[in-house]
Amino acid sequence: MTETNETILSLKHIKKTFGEHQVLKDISFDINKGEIATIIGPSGGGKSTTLRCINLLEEPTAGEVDFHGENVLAPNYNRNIYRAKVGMVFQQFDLFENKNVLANCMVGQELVLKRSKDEARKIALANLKKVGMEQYVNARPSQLSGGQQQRVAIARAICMDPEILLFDEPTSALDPEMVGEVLSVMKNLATTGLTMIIVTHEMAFAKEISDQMFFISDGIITEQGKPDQLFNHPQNEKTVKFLSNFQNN
Amino acid sequence: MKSRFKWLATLVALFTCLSIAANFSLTEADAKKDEGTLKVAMEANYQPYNWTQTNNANGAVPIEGSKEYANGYDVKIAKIIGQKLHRKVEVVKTEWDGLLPALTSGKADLIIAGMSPTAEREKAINFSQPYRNSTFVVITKINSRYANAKKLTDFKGAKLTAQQGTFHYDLIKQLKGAKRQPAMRDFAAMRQSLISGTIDGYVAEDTESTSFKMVDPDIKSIPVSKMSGFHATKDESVTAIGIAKPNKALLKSVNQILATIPEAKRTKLMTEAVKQQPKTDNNKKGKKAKSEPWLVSMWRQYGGMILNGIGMTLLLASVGTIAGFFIGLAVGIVRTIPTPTTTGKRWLLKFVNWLLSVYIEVFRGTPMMVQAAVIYYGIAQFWHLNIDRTVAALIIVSINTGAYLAEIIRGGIISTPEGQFEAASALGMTHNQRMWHIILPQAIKNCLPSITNEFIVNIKDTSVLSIISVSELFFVGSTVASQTFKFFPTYLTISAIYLILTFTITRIFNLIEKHLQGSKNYNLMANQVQVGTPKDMEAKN
Repeated sequence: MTETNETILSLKHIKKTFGEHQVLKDISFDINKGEIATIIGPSGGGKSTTLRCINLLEEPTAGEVDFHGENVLAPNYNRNIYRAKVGMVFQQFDLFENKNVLANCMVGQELVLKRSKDEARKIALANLKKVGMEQYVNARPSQLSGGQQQRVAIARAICMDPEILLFDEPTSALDPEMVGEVLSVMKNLATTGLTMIIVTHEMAFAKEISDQMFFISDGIITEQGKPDQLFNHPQNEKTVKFLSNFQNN
Repeated sequence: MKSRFKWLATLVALFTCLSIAANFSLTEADAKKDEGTLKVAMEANYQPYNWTQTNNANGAVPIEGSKEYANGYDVKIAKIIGQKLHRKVEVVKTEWDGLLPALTSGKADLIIAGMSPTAEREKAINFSQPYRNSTFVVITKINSRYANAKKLTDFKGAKLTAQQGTFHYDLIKQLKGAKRQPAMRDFAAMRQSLISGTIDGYVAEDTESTSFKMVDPDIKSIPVSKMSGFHATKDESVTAIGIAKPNKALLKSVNQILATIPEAKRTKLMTEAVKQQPKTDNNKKGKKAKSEPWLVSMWRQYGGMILNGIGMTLLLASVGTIAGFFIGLAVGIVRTIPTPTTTGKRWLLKFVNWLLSVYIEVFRGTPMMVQAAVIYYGIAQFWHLNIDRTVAALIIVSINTGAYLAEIIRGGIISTPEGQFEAASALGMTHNQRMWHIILPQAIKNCLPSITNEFIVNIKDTSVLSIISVSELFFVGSTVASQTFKFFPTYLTISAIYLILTFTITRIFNLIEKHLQGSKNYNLMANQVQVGTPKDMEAKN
């Protein structure tokens, strides 16, 4: 919402195949600094794969991922440093089971950013407070509810001071009563000027928060634009059909 | 990329350490084996020829690599030979089946173990002139109707037996008309049967009758060797000293020395040996020793030995499990290294993985007993490396455990949820960082029950190392059993000790697991200390 015109990330003709199956056919888009982008679309359409191609959890079969104008797929590009700048929040939270809440938020800072223990702890505590989990520093992930775990996962990601934060269906695995607490944390984050790319099925949330939306289906972007355009004046048939499912509910 | 191969370096370093340890003990063993020592292999477990005792009473000689001593007829003969050769005698305590390998691999200079020079054995080693001629007797009760037998046929109708697996049992066939009973396991069983009257007598050597008479004067031995028609081959009736084939000079001097020991002296030595052999209260009839329970007297005599055995078993099992764990960890880690991008490294990794899978297959696919024999005797025989038996045992248990744990740990690494890898990658961690800080702690925790299990298995399975005569609990137990003639109570005691060990260790590891697991629920109040003061809390509420 504090969008600028500086392009921070651009995907150029990304293709991804798993064996015979081509999941991404041709995905290209630009993300500006401070922009909140959401990706919606039917299941199996390639939303998550697009996200995973951005931080290279999946290696694109073809195409370019440019970060500040540099192709991160180039052989000599330092991927670990890049990944530290592109945070990710997973559908299944994936907190480190062997570490407590505080340590989950510290380990990346210490190992990757080489911050001192004290500094890492200070930053971790501050961010845990932001997500309302400061009372649970000593808890183990298995002792927390799904919503609490996801809030810790968000804190863990923002401790790394990422330039972009990716959310892969962050509320899909949650019981309905816990969705709200996570979404409100995300809304707060959006006000800080952090660039975010969110894959979600929460249409109302997407409509409210997004600067730009992408509708991905069958491995291509069939429609993109401002929320108003997608929700109120969809051009593509697939978008219309997809959105009608939600409006009927 | 480079750092990935740190694992490889670690592994190489580990193996280097092991081989250095082996080398170290090698030089140590070499140093000990100077001209001054005459190493004599025997079971130290075959009374009255040889036995183990806890002190040096009656001129006993030290047993190599232990705090115990050996004595007996064989030791007395060995001492005479040593004296004449100006060499100090040291006993190499070895299982019966390990005697020949001990000689051929150079771990001993002589076998003096009540061994008969059979044709089969003479193919492998040379034998000296006999140092004892056995006399065979039928042992019976003094009031038995066979007590006055004068010829072989006088045993007609007698129920006779002998020890299982010995030619004594075949000799009964020469006593025409005698009723041959099923063979028995040991002398203790035969003595018991004779006293209870289930048999009329048993065939044995005269030494057995001498020792039996010491505890029960009511028995009589009837020599049958001289009776007409009795026939025993040289193989069966004499015992000789074994010497390695190439060692012709030693054979010659041993024969010369034996020629200087007259028959009378030999008989005297044997009588001494029979008198000195560890006392057992077996079959003592109502004498004063009866007031003391068997377990107490056994413990008084052998308690120290058994404690040492327990110590050795625990040492082997714990060092083996810990070293095996690190080997398994290194192997497990190497085997889960992601495929490198450059071709050269890819091939190197493929080759290393192949080597490691061979290691795992070989050591999981063969019995530890066989591995021990191959490594301990084989290395000595073919490379002339003399590894100390305890070091050899430690190495064997470690690499054996390593092979099992490698697969367990690899399984633990692989079964760690994919999300843990991904979350760590997404934070920008390198492969090594992911492994050390995220994956391995979880994998090891999940493997802990299997590691405990491996420890328990090691406590029990190190008993097979008795093949290379490591004096662990089982080896000590079998020594005590054959010296006390109390097989059942001794092995029962030994198994009780094993059970106590495994039971205790299982509980300890269960506690550790429970501690690592932590509680299911998070207690907000109990865990707040780190965050803020109670004041903060009040403000929040």
